[in-house]
Amino acid sequence: MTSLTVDGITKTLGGSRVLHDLSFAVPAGRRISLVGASGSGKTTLLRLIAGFDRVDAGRILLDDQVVSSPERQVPVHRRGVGYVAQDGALFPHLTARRNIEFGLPRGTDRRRLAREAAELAGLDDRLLSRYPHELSGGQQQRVSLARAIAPSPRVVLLDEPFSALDTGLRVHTRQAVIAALEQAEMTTVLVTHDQEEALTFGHAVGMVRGGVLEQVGSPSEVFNSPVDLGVAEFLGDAVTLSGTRVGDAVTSVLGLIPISHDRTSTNAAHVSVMLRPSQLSLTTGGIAARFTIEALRTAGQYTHVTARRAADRIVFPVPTVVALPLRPGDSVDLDVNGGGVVYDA
Amino acid sequence: MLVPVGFVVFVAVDVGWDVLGPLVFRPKIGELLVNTLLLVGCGVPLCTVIGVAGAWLVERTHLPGRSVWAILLAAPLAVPAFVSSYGWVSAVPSLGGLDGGLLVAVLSYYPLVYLPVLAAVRGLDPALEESARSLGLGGWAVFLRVVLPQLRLAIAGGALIVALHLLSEYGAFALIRFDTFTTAIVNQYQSTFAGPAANALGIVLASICFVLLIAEASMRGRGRYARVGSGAPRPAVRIRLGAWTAPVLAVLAALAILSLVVPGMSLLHWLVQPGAWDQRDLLPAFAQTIGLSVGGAVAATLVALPVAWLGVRFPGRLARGLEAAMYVASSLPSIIIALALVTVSLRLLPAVYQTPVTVIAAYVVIFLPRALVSLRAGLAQVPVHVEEAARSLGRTPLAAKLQVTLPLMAPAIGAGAALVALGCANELTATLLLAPSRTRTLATQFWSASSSVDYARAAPFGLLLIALSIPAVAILLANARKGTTR
Repeated sequence: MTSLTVDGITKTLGGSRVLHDLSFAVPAGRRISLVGASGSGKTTLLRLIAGFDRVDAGRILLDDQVVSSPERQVPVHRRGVGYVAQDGALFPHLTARRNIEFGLPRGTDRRRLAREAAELAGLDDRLLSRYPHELSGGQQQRVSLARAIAPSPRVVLLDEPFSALDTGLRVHTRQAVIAALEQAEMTTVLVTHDQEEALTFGHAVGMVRGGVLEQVGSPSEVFNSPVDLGVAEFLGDAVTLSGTRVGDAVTSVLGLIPISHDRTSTNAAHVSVMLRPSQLSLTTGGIAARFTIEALRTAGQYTHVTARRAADRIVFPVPTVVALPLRPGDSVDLDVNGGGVVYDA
Repeated sequence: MLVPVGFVVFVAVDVGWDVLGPLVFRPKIGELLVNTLLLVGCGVPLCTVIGVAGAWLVERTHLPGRSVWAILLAAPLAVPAFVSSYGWVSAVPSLGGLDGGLLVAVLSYYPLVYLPVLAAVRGLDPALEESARSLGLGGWAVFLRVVLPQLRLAIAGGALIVALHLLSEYGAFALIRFDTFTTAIVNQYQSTFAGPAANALGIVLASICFVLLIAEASMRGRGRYARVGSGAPRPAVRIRLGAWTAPVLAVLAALAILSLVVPGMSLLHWLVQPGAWDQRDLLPAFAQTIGLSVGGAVAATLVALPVAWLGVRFPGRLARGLEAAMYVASSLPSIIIALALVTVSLRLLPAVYQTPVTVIAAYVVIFLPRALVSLRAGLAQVPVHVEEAARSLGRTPLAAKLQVTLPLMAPAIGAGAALVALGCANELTATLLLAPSRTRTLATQFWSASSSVDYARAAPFGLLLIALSIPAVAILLANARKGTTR
């Protein structure tokens, strides 16, 4: 097992700075997901770790070995990284078995090692004689993972490997990949733009924005205490309210909300408080906070409810099944469970 | 690759205007200029009309037997122009002049417009035409305002290739006694041995080529011709020809008769004459043709490979400049390329003068784009991720290319090499000038016999030339029928 350290790396491409002073560490055998919007620099970061590109500043270390720095660049083929590309990048002229055997050194029992890697990736033995075009998208990604882990790389790098799969297959394949990596105890870096994927995949999550690692921590830490509202909204639905700080709580349109995390930089009284929609419970006939429903917009599993109280208006999603009996003009009460994260107003 | 372009500039400077001026501005040049311009001015529009109409008919109408017509319309490309000319002149000995030149040229070269337009028509998104119809445009207006602009690149490209072929063709026009710049240059060269007169003619011919290249480049514009939307395009709805079916079939049948049946029947007639097959140099000529063609194909592929690599993997000014230089050089008439190589080999490398090396060098310059286009397309279909995956699995950059990229490119390499080889097999002008004196290729033997009016002796060579050309035409037609969006 190998640890990965990314230490202050900077990269400029085509005259614009893509990554800036970016640092994080992944302990041996752990998984980190780096999440960010398209163009945030996360794929560039992965390519630097893989060794496809050189860093302008900073270092990348595998254990104590510097594999990338402005002075030193260990070539990709001597670096010991397993790389799974977005489309799998399977060799179309080789069968699944030959693809998996491709990175295994001569003189080893390639067939056995390939079978073991395939088993780890949850691939049926019968699929191994097929060519990539004869496999489904999910099977292709599993072959790609098996190929990457077969030579026992020091680090596995996953570049949005599930993004080309449809929703059901994506979840299923992701679970299979996590199980395989867990069993193989591989140090892994996943880059993705899907927040749900990021939050469920790794032991740690890093949020990349504009080439800067804004926040890194455990999934629950990053989700429940985002560094700013931008990160909060990227990682999931957020209900943001303005309020006034009163000791360890904030008074708002929803009443007194305890402060769970304080992300303000000053002690100003006026703050913004962020809640996750799952913290809101919607009841009718209660006394907590009376709102009038203004609009309902159904989006499949969830319905976005726009509710108004005097001049205050909030929009939040509720399960569609809960929203079914509601109509515009109905009165509802909203209760808050748990505390909110406060930010500078 | 820039030797022929450099040669034109060098001759102009070296000889000087005092010598060149009187050679360029003389009545003979004026006559050749009129002939050549009339040939291009009439031949290119005729080829364009036939090519566009043919592609449209087989792709967008319910033309009966359209898959057969799709092949028949491309088939004249398998008959080298000088073989077609031989067929016509031996069947109608009085054929000659501009009319004869135009007839043979148009029947031989219209597929050069038909094939790219066929590919472009297949790549058209019918949704654009439907949108135009929904905006109130009628059938003809849709064709003129939506379809034709999208075919512009294919038409301009095909027309340019036709024009360049018309400028560089020697055998076909010499057989029917129609004087053009190229026939005059070869005649001058053979009588005065690369004298200033031949070079002066060469400069004028090269200048016409440059004008055509610039005209074609300026026609491309900045518009985008690829399908923009996402999702799979639907197949186009075909138009019913109705009352036009019979006249259209009659015209197509006449075209097939003129372009295929007349030369074919003529060839068959001479093939069954006594002595036609009683020739000792048939097999040696075939063997030498194969040898030179394979040599040309291997050399062109080796030269094209790094250029294609640079163009696909590292696109930039260097790659674009390099490719442009190759296209410009190969677009020069083969007679200019041959004259350039004669001059360079005599002055700088006398050891290679009149050796297979210069012949193969000429083939590389002339046919390199065939290899380049094929290799480029093949390499573009190998995602760079696949090569990177190989590197992450422990392969060196070279090993990754050899074990992953090259096998995936093999069909493209094969197709490109085949097209070059078959082009080399049919090449006449440069081979006549550059080949060692004992060289006998199918083309030179065919030419030697037919120019001596020994049509029976020429026939077997002509038949073999056609047989060798069929695979190339099949590859081109298959590529065109896959359709492209540019």
